[in-house]
Amino acid sequence: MDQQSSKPVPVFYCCYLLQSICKRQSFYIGSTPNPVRRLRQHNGILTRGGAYRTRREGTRPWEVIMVVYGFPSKITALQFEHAWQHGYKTHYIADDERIVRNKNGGRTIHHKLGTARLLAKNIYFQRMDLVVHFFNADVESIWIQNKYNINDMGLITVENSPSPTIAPTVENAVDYSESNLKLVEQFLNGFFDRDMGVCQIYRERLTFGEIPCGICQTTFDYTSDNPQLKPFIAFCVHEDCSFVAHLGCLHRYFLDEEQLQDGIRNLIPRYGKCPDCSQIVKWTHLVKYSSMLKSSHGT
Amino acid sequence: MDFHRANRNLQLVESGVSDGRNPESFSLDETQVPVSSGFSSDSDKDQQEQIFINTQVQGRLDEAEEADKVRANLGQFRYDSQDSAISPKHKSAIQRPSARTTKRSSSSQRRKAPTKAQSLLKQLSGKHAKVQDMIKYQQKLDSLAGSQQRAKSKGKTTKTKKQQEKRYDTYNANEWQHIYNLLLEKFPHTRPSEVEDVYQYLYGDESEDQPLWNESQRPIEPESQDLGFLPPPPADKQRVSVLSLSQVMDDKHSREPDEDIIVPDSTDEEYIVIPIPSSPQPLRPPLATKPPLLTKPPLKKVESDAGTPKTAHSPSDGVIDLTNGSFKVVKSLISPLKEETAQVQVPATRMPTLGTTPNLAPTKEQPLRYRLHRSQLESFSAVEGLIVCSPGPSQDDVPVPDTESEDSAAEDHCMVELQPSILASRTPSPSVQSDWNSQSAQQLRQSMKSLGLKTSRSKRQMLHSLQQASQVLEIDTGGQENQRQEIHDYLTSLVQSSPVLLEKVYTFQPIASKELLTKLTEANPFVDVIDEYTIREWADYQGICLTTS
Repeated sequence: MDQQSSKPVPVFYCCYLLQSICKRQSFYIGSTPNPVRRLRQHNGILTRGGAYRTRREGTRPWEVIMVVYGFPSKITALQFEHAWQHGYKTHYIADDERIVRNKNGGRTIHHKLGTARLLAKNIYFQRMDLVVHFFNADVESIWIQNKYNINDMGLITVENSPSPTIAPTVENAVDYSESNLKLVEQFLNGFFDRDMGVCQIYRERLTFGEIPCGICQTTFDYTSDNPQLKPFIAFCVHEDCSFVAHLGCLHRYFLDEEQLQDGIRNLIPRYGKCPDCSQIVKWTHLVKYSSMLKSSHGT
Repeated sequence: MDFHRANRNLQLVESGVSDGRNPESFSLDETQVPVSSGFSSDSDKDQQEQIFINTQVQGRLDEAEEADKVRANLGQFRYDSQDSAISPKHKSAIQRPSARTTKRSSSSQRRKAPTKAQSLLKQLSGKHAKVQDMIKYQQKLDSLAGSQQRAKSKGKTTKTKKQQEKRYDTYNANEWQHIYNLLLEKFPHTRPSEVEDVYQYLYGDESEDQPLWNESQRPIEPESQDLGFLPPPPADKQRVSVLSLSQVMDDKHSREPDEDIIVPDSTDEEYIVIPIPSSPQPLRPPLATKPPLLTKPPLKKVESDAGTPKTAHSPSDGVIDLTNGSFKVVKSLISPLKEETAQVQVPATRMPTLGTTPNLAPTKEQPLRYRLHRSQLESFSAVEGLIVCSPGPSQDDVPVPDTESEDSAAEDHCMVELQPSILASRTPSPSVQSDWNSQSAQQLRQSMKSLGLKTSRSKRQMLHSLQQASQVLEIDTGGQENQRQEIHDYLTSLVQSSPVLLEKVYTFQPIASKELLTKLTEANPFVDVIDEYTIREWADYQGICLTTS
């Protein structure tokens, strides 16, 4: 009953940072499962959908300069968004670490990126294996510059798209925003293609019927109608490995390993080695595909 | 006629026309404007009013002048001090309240502190005269020390002090034992060290100067020598490290005035006199040669006598070493005065381990090994110190299965190790509980905040929740960080023991905080006591996504 009401891990959900092309000191932080659609809303190309804050005179068009994704749920993405917008008061940043001290402060891009760094550093978001993606080499260099010297970032992946060839000016604002939209589209499509491809492979393997768990040897069957035979399962994410197990079994397996290493038994493991191919697998990836498969087949 | 009339008419008409254009008529009109006349009259009134006011003021001024004159004439009759009396009035009005308040507060403090101590000592010993003597002595010591500070150069103080010290009466061994018994009854949880502190406060340390005892033991010396050698009581050493009875009762006021006094002054002559090494030693009789009746009562013996219950195996004297661990355990059980300790709550999740360990634990060193079915394993994962051995690699350890359990496959089982030392250490420490009882509500609230527990208005409720917490946590070990960590670890173990909840957590499903709370509280009611902030902190740390709805 609980499992039916629960939502799967979304394929993609991100928090994004917009910068006005005409008014470079204007920024906007938001979150969306579809950054392409949202950007078009912000720029007024799509008239349906709220874009109140970005409709102000002289700020359109907007450019997506940075995306943080990998959130395991919409709620965590919203939590990150709110914390990013309210860096002066969020509880995810310790008081002595804050770089934005009051409501009206922190309007520069250094502050925006610094706050994102501080948030990504928090143990809560660390467990989610977030990825930071830049659409602009200048912004990435600011990230690397790390003006506020925020270190110990832990597990944060940083990627970038090829930087746009033209510089943003008021005259070529429309062209520039179009190129930015294309970059975002490319990035999103690439992501979806990869993800859907992986999912497709897993689905095909599930059509074989009964499959034994690689750890406890109990079989499960996603083709049957019995929901008892459709627990959370996890595939090794590496292509050449065919390991399958209950997510719960793998969870225990990973935690046992982690406990041996660190001496602490947490509730969620960060990553672990696949029992078969002993390559490192991130827990968030396992959970994501597991919940997606279960939601599409399980009920 | 007609011509004349017409001519006159014409002239009239002409004059009428010319009248309309005549500047004179305009001027007439202007003069007749009523407004202007009104203005003029108003201004007149104003002037009149001004004059009127001026006369009024003038009248007053005249009156004042006249009064001054009269006063000047009468000046010969006034008191001499009148002028000076006015200014001090102001001063005193400023000064008085502050002086009053300070006096009042200090006096009330002093009044309060002795009465509490007095009543306690009365209750304890029933010897009113003695107690009063003691308290008087203490007060005099305090006041003396105070006066000593004020009048630094006066050598008299030592003399007076000496006289008072001689009046002081100490308890002998039997009396002390009686007091100790009563103390134990009143404060069943006092540590032996605390009693020792009180003892030391009364008698001083053996190695240090013992003014009271020495005074009584000292052969009569010539006055002049005495003045020179008598050391002031080593007040700083005694008072800083020692808890007085009133402090045991959590009465802070008695301590504060003391602390002001003990600051030693390098300019004080007495301090220059004391350290002469050669003479004081012969004055004091060596400890070994004390006459037996006048010596200090042996503390250790008394304590053990009073503290231990009369058990069958204990000797008649009941000499048990205080360092013995078992002593503490026994003490925690005999607390007839407290109701709270009687309610021992055993958390539900702990039941199986508590039930099985005493029977099955062979030795302390060897871990316990159980063979469990996998389905059972989930429910045991909450237990700390439990190590799961997967059945694969260590086939040697797998015991020969019973004949009855042959049908179950080997891989369905797994070995579980329990470390008994961890289980054994899970008992609430009595010393901490006694600390709570003696704390005020404010202090309790503070310590509960630091622990990460919910605070409440009533002390009783807080004590109850602390008691509950002590069933689960080892509160006295480590600092605040450790305590919070302990709560976090406990919550983690609770989630680990619930497969449904655990699955929700490791699949990153958002959980409504209310739902999580109710589930955890079902597992153990202790969770209800934990502060919500602490739970959120823990959830963040463990990556549990909490929602408000």
